Amino acid sequence: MSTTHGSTNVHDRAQHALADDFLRQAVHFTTDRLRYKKQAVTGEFGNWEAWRERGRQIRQHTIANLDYYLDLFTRNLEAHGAHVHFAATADDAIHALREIATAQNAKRIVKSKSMVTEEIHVNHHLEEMGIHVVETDLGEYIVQLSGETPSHIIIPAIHKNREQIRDLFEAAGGERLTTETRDLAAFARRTLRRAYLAADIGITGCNFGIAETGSIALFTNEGNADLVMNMPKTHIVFMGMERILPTMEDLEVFAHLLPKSATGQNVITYMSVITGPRRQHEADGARDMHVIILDNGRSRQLGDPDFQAVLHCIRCGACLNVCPVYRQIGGHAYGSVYPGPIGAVLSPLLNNGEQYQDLPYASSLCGACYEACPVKIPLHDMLVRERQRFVASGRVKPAERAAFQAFRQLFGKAGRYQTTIRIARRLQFPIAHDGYIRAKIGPLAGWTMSRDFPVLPKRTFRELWPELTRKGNGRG
Amino acid sequence: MDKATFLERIAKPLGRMPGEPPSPRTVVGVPSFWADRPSTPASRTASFIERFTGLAGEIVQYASIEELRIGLNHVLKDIGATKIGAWGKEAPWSVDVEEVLERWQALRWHAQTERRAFDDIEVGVTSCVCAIADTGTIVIASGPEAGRTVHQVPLIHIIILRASQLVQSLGEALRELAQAHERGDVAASNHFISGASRSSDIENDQTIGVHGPARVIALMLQDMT
Amino acid sequence: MKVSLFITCIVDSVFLNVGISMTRILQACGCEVSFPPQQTCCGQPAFNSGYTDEARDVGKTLLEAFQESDVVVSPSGSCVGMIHHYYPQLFADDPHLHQAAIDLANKTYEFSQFMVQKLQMTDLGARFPHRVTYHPSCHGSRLLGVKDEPMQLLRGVREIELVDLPYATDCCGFGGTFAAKMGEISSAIVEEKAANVADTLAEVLVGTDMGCLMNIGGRLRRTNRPIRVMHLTELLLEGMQLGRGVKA
Repeated sequence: MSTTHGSTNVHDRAQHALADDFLRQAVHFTTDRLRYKKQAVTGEFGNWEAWRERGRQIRQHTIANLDYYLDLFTRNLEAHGAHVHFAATADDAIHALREIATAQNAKRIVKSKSMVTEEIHVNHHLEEMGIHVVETDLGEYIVQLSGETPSHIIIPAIHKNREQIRDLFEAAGGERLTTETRDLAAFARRTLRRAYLAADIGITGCNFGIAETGSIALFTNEGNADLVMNMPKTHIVFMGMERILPTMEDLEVFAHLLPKSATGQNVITYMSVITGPRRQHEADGARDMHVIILDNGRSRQLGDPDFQAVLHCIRCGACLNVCPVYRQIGGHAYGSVYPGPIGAVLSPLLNNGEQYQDLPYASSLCGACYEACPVKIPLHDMLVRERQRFVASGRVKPAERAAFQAFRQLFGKAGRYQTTIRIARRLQFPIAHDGYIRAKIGPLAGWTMSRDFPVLPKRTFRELWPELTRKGNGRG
Repeated sequence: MDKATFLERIAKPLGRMPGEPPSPRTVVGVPSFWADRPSTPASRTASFIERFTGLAGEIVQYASIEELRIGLNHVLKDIGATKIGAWGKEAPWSVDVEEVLERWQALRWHAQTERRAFDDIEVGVTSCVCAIADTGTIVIASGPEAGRTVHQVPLIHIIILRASQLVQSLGEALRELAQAHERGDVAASNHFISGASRSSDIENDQTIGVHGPARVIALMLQDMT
Repeated sequence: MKVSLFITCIVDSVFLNVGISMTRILQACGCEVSFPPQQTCCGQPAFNSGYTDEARDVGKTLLEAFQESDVVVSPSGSCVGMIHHYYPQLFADDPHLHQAAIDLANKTYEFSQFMVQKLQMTDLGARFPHRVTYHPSCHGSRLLGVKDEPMQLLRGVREIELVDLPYATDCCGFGGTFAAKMGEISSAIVEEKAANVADTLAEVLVGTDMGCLMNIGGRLRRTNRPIRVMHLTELLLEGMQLGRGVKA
C-alpha cells in the first residue's frame, strides 16, 4: 500500500494534513454533509437499530459459514458461464489478471471504483504490463489524473477543489474548461465515453456476491459500473472473499443499510445485479466474465474471536464520517488504502501487523465508529485489542513499557500511589505557574503544546476525606 | 490456488469440515415489521410517485393505452430528439407503443444488433420488469430484444410501465429474481434504477448525467382503478 | 442508602472539588457515604494502551476496595464504563476475581446515573442563573449509555439557561494517552471543541468526566476564552447552596 506523502508514520503524515487548510475544510464540509444526510434518512426510515442488528446477524452468519456460501456462490457463477479464480495473495490475483489480459491481448482497460483493486494495486500492475487503464468513477478519475490515491472510501477526491480539477482535466483533454461543475462533469462524460468504447476489458469490484444465485451486486450513483461491465467484451470482477450474502432476501437488508450509511441516500441510483456473462442471443453485455476472489490476509481473521467481525464490514465509510481523527487529518494521513477507523483496524490485520502498526493508536477510542457502523463492528474495542497484541509480541517502545510497568507498581497499591502523588507534587513545583503547567517537557509535551495542564493541589481527596466526614456530614 | 485448498483455508479456522452444511439461520432478510407492512395499489402508486420524483424522475400517468401512446409522442416531440433507440418488437413491453416508435423511426434492438449503432442515441425507450414503491426504483432485465445499451447509453431514458407492475419492496423484486434463477431463466443483467445518474465528487456539488441518463421519464398506464 | 465513593485517580489527585461536591450532594440526599482507601485507579490508561497485565494489577485495588460495598458511585462515565464493559473480560482467567468484577460492575454507577436511576431524584432544589452548555463525554454516553441523565439533572435546575453545544457528541480529543501520544491531532480536535463551546456564548461548560473537561478547559485557558468549566456535581452543589433547596 502506498503513501501519498512518503512519510512512514501517521504522526508525520498527520502534521502534513493538519497544515492543509483546504483539506481540513473540505473534509469537515463533506463529512458533515454525509452525517446529516444519514441522520435524516435513517430517522425517516425508522427502526434503525433493528436494521443494524439485522445487518450484524446476517453478516455474522455468513462469515461463520463462509466456506459453504463461497462454494455455493462460485458453483452458481460457473453454472452461468463465469470463470472463477481463487487468489490467496495479492500476487495470485495479479497473476490471474495478467493471464486474462494476455489471453485477450488487452491494450485498454476501464475500471469502476473498487477498494479491493486499490488494496492490491491493480492499476500499477496494469501499467507495468503496458496496459492503459482509466478509472471511470468521477472522483477516482480525478484522483488517477493527479497521481494520488483515494482519500475517502466513498468520495475519493474529497481533497481536491474545482480549480485543481479543472487544471487536471485541461491537461488531460487539451481543451479549455470553466470551473463549473456541469462543464467539468460534461468533459468527464465525453472523455470517459470514448474510453469505454475503446476498452478491451472492464474491471469492477463487487459490493455483494449472492450465494444462492451466483450474482454480483454492484452499487453506483453515476452508472459507470454498468458501462464498464457491458461495453468491453470481457468483464473482470475483483472481490474480497468475505463479500458474500446468502440470499437475495438478504440483499434487501443491505440495499437499505449501505446507501443510507454511506451517503445518506434512501436508495442507490444504480444497483446492478449481474448473473453471468451475456446469454446466447444477447447483443450486448460482456462475453466473458471472470471473478477473482481474494483472501490476502482475510482468512487469518477467521476463528479469531477478537477480529473475525472485521470481515463483516460492507465498506460504507460511515465510520470515517463520524471519526474525530479522520475529520482533522483526512484519508491520506493514514497512509493506507483503507483510511479512518476501519482502516486503522483492518490495515495492520491484513498486513499481519508489520506495517501500519501506528494506525491503531490514531484514535481517541471515542466509539463514534461503532455507533455509526451499520453492522455494529466494535471497531473501538478492536483498536485496543490490536494494541494488546503489539504489547504481547514486544512491538512497543521500551520507554512506554517501562512507564506502564511503573504505573502497575505505583498504582497497584494505595500506599505507593499516595507516595507517588506526594513526590509528583514536589517535582512539579519548578514548572508550575499560576496553578497550571505550560512547559513542553517529557510525555507532557503532547498535551502542553496546545493546552494548559492543571497542577496537583496541596492535598489529595483522600487526605481531605477525614475532614469531609467530620464537618460535612450533610444532614447536620 | 485451487478451490478446495482455498475453501479449506476458510473452513479450518472456522472449525468447519469442507462441504459441511451451514449452521441454522435464525434470521433471513428484512425484519417482519418491514415485510408485513400493509400495501394497496393506491398506496404503492402514491409512494412510487413520491420517491421517483424525489430522485429527479419525471412521471406522467395515463388512463388508457391510447392516451399513453399520444403522451409518448408528445414527450418525444418536446425532447426534439433525432436519434431514438428502443427495445425490439419482441421485447416484454408492458404497453404496445409500436406505432409511435415506428413513426419516430426508432432504432430497434435485436439479437443481432451491432451495439455501435446505438452508441450515439439521444433517447432510449424501454419497458421494465417491475417498479418498486418503497424506493422509486425501475427494474430492467436484459434479454435478446432488451439490450442494456438502450437505457444505459443515452442522456434521456423513457420507461413505459403499468401501475399493476408496482411492487411494494425491493425484496419482492429480488425474490422474483431468485425464483427466476430457480427456474433457470434469470437474466444476465437486472438493473435497479432509482432516478438520474448523479455524482457529488466535485466539491460536493451534485451534478446529474455524469455517465448514465440525466433525465428519466416514466410513462405509466393506470390500470389499477 | 450506604454508598461507597469510587473517586477516580484524577479527581483524587487534581480535582478535589468534584469529590467534595459529589460527597456533599450524596450526603444531602440522605446517603451514608464512605471512601474505601484501598482504591487507586480503574487501570484504563494501561488497558487502552494494550497493557492488560498492568491494568489488571491496578484494577484489583478496586475489586478489593469495594468488595463489601452495596453501591459504588463515581464522578466519571469513562471509569465506570471501564468497569462495566472491560472488567469481566480483564479478570476472566481467575474465577474468584471474575466474580468480583461482575459484582462490582453490577453495583457501580456513574453519578448522574445513580441520581436518576437509583435515587430517582432530578430536582435538587438548585438555582443557577447562568448560561450553560453541556458536553456529553463519549465513554459515558456511548459505552455506558448514560445519555439523558445529566440533562435531566440540569433541567431540574432553576433559572439555568441551557444552550445546545454544536457537534456536542463529537469527541473532545482527550482519549487518555492519545492526547499526549498524538498531541497534534488531539490538539486539532480540542480546538474545534473549544471553538464550538465558545460559539455558544455560554458562561459555563459542564460535563461528567474530568478527563474531557481538563482537556477542553486546558484549551479554553490557553486560548484565553474565559469560560468556567465545571463538573456536573460542582454545578449542582453550587446551585443547591444558592437555591437553599436541599441543605448542603
